[in-house]
Amino acid sequence: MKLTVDDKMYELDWKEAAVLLVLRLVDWHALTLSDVELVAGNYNRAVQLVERLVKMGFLKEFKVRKLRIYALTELGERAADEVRRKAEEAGLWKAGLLP
Amino acid sequence: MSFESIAELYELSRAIARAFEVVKLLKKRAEKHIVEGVPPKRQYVRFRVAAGGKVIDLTEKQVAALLVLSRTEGAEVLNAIARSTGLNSKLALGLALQLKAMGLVNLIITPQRKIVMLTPLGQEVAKKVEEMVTEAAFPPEEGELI
Repeated sequence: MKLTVDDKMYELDWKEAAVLLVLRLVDWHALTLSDVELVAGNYNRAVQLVERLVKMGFLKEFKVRKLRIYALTELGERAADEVRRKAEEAGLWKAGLLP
Repeated sequence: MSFESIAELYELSRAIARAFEVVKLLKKRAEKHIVEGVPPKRQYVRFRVAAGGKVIDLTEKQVAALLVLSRTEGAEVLNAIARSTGLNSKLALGLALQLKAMGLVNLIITPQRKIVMLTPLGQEVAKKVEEMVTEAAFPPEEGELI
């Protein structure tokens, strides 16, 4: 899907958009790689996914030994809000899809 | 409605469905991992450090945590700090929260993992504390070295 954040166009797939939403919605605003794996479906895809999001500037990575934790950057927060706005506009946010 | 917008809508709905499924799961998991930080009792001020334009009083446990962090490039998991300071996870989190309130560390918390990172002020304080500890352990000998 195409996202415009700060007048710049980004193209995300649905799993990348889902990671942004999860990070915005959980109270602690951070995910480990194994949490991202829940969205991505497998480890390799999770690694690819976070690498791409970090490269785009949406995520920041905190690395301690083997542990990697990801949090949204300010740009990532705006991107997540944009995904949410799009969903609300399309009526998906209220459609009962969400718990 | 164009094919492109239908495809985008489909992608959006998948993203939202997966995101909410995962958020629900993570929140459920998080309920099992709620640890509330309790500051360690009987802490006595052992070090007084001037840094960042203010004087900071530090206890033994706080100094131990800062030393652990300064020797691991400024970031460490909370469990490692707990092990080094001889505290359980509840008390170690309390200690980390104390240090955070003092502006010496930042905490990144997920339900299962917690990372403690030194702030620039924390790095300055840790460096000074390390110097003080080294000086106390190995006092400079009198006389000239030949």
